[in-house]
Amino acid sequence: MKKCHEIIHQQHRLRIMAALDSDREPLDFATLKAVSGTTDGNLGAHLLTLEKAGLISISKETIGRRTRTWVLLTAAGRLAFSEHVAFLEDIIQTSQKTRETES
Amino acid sequence: MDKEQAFQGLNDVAIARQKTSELRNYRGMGSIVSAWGIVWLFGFGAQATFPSFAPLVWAVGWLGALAWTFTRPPKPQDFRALATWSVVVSTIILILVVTRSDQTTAAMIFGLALSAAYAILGIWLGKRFLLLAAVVLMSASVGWWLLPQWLYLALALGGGVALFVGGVWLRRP
Repeated sequence: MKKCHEIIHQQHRLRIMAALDSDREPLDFATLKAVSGTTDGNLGAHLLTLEKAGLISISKETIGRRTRTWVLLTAAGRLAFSEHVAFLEDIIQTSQKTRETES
Repeated sequence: MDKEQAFQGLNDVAIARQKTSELRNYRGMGSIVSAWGIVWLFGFGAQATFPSFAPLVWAVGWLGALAWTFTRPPKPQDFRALATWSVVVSTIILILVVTRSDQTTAAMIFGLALSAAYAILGIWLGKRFLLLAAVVLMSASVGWWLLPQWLYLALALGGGVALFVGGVWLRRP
C-alpha cells in the first residue's frame, strides 16, 4: 500500500525511520544522531514527534551514572514507513512512465 | 509532492540505511578488534622480552580471542563464518610451518596478512578499517625496514596498541 506520511517525510525524521527500519534491534541515541546528522536537541524533538505519533517507542537504560536512550520502531511505524517508501517509489515510477510515453 | 522531492526522500533513505549498516558493522567488530589487539600486544611483547614464554602467550591469546570472537553478538549464522575462520587458521598454521626457522619473517607476514584483511574489511564494511590497515602496515614496515632489531616491539606497540584503540574507536558512532 502507498501512502504519504507528512510526519515521516521531514528529512531528518525520514533518516531516523530508515535507520530504525533497517534493523529489528533498537538503536541508541548516539547512532541515530550520527545517521540523521542532527544536534542532540533537534534529535530529541524529532524523536518526541515520532513517539507521539506512535511510530517509535523510547526506553531509557541506566548504566552507572549514565543514561542510555534506546529507540525502537513500533509495528505501526514499520508499516507507515514502508507505505511512505512505496509512495515515493510510485512517484518516481509514474514520472518515468510519463516521460517514456511522451518520448 | 514532485519527482525531485520523492527522489531526495529515497536518497535519504538509502543514505540512512547504508550509514546504519556501517555503524552496526563497526559496533559488532569493535570489541573483536580490541581483543586481537591485546593478543598482538602481549604475543609480540613476549617475543621481544621473554621469547621462551612467547609460544604459551600466543596459544593462550589465540584461544581466548577466538572464543571471544565466536561469542560476540551477532553470532555467526551460517557456515561461511566457520569457513572463513578455517581459512584464516589454516593460513596461519601454514605460515608458521613454512617460516618455522625464521620467526621475524613470520611476524612480518602476519603484519602484512592482517593489514590486507583489514583493507578488505575496509572496502566491504566501512572505511574506518582502512585506517586500521594502514596503521598495522606502517608499524610492520617501520619494524622490518627501519628498526629490524625492534620488529617485535614495533608490532606489539604499533600493531597491538593500534588495534586495541582502533577497536574502541570502532564502537563509537
